[in-house]
Amino acid sequence: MPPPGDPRGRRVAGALLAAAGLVGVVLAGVVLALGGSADVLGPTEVSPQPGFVPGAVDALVAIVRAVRAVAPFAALLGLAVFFATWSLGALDRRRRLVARLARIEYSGIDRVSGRESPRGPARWVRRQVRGTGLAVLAIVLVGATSGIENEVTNGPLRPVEALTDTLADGRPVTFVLQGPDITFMDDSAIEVARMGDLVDDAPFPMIPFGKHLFNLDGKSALQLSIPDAVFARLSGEAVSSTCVGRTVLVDDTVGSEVGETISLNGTRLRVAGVLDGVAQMNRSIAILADSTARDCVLHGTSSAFFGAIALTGDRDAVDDVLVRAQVEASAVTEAHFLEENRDFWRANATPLILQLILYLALFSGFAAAGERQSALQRNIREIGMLNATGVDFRALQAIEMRRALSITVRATVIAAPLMVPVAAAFNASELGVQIGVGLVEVSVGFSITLVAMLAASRRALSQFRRRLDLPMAVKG
Amino acid sequence: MITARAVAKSYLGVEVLHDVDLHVPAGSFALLTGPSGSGKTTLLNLLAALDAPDGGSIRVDDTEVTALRGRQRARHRARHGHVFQRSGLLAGLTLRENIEAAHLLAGHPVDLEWVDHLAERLGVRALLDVTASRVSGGQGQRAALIRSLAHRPPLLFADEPTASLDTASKHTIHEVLREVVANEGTTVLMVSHDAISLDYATDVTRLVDGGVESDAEATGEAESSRREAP
Repeated sequence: MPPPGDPRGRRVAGALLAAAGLVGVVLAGVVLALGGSADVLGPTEVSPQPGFVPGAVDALVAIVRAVRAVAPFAALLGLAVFFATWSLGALDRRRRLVARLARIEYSGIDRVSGRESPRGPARWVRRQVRGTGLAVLAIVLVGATSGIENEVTNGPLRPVEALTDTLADGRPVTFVLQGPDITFMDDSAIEVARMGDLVDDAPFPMIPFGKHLFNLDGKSALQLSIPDAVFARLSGEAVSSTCVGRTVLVDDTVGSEVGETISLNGTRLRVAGVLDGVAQMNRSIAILADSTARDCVLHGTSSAFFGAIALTGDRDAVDDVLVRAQVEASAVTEAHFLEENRDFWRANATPLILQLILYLALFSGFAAAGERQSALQRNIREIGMLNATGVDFRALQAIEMRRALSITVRATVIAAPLMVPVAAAFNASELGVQIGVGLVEVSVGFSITLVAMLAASRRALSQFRRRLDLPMAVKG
Repeated sequence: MITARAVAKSYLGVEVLHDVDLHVPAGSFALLTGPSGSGKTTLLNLLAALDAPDGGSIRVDDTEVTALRGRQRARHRARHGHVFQRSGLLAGLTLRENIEAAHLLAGHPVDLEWVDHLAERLGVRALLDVTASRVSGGQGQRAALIRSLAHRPPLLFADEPTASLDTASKHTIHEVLREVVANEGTTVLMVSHDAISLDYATDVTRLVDGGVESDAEATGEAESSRREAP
């Protein structure tokens, strides 16, 4: 491989990095589209012990959260420095000159093509695409993805929380689940007959529910089924005895209104209610009455329940019922259940997202370094002349630092409004996680890009210094 | 005052300078001349601390230039004036900003009245606020000369500054340099193979094949060049 300073080496390295980044992004997208369970990158298999979270993941999550916590202050500091130096430029000729040099190309000549740079708007656009354009991309990508991690961890738990809130109406609940695996993703089941015993024996209300994966109007859907009586109470309608005209509750990602007819695995159902924000990762959600699921959608193949929600917070009481009914199941509190699920997602999906962020950050950093190095090389004669006449590299460093800050500020002004449609497009793809764009995301993008630009400028200038041949640079 | 002793320099195994001894007295207008490839520019670059010799000693006043490193070399260069064959102006800045830039960045004050005087003398005063990309090569070269003199340096290194100029411009630049030597006490060391320069120089050193030609040979050559000059 050519040495790092060699232009061909930079191009090869850039191409490799771009390819790696692209592959990473595509893989992460695919994995997310598959519900985070594909064994493609890292520890993505369903963990046999859902409570297990690799230490490295915890550390990375902590880093992302720390960046999000610190970024607004860093961005504020960066802006303060920018405006302070801008203001001081009015009083100080040297500062004004540094700011001016940081705004312009030293030579005004594009030595790559050998032509004079275009003038007017074309020149402005070209300049933005070179430095600022790159920074805009970095801010949009890094900033937007920084907001995903929380969504990955918490997003899948929303339907569970929504379900318990809906069924228990705010009362404390205890989950009853078959076997030791207590995440929402496992396939444990309690037989119908056993569940019947439990419901009969329990001195508190027990609401069994099923869990099935079906296609809802062309979208992957998680279907929950609950007792007819509970469904009737929630929908406000009696459950019909024939499939035609039966009702369903759906979440708003399905995009249906109350009264519309939708297709669930080929069965036409009428929407009786719309739930807000309960889509599970990559899946819309549909809640059916047990009889509807059994008679119309599952066609009688269902012989078990995923679990039951006991409307009591007394776990010991639930354990007593399980012993009396001789059902081998686990009784877990809602908090415990949610915590286990959170750990599951953190162990299986968060590493992918962190890899995605890491790829994007690295890609941005290396691309920025290449761009700055290329820009310096294009201006080797002018910079060489400045150095020959006595301007040391510390002064040139000040110009390049100022340029990095200016580029980042300009790029943020462009990127911040761009993040809205980018987030909207991402959210419309219904990968199951939502990007929220706010000041934190903008400041994360700003801070990481600024650090990358500063480091890139410093590295580029340092390499330029080592390679600078002064006699050649000033030669006529 | 510049004193060089036994200076040697090679590039890629090819010896460009060998055993060069040179003395440039303070306040002189010294000329380095010789045929193409004789090592004039290489020697000037070594004396101006743009490059480092392979051997020998170079003293500028009390400073041993060969002992300087990194930022010290840049600071040393900043004290002196430098003008090259190419103006090397920054296209996006005005001539005035170009003149000030290097000195402000190096932390040296610029005497603006002196700059205006030099600009007047060199015929570019009206162009000082024009962007460098919009002036001609000759006008840019005059601005480069002003840049090199703006901080009233004790020593000016000039590498064929008039090579691409018309005869009138060449005379103007040489006259200004002679005035600077006479009035400011500046030492000028100029590389040139332009015959006009011989009319202005007070000291002439001729390089041949990387070495200094003897004084007698140099004087004879200088006289010969002067006679051939138009």
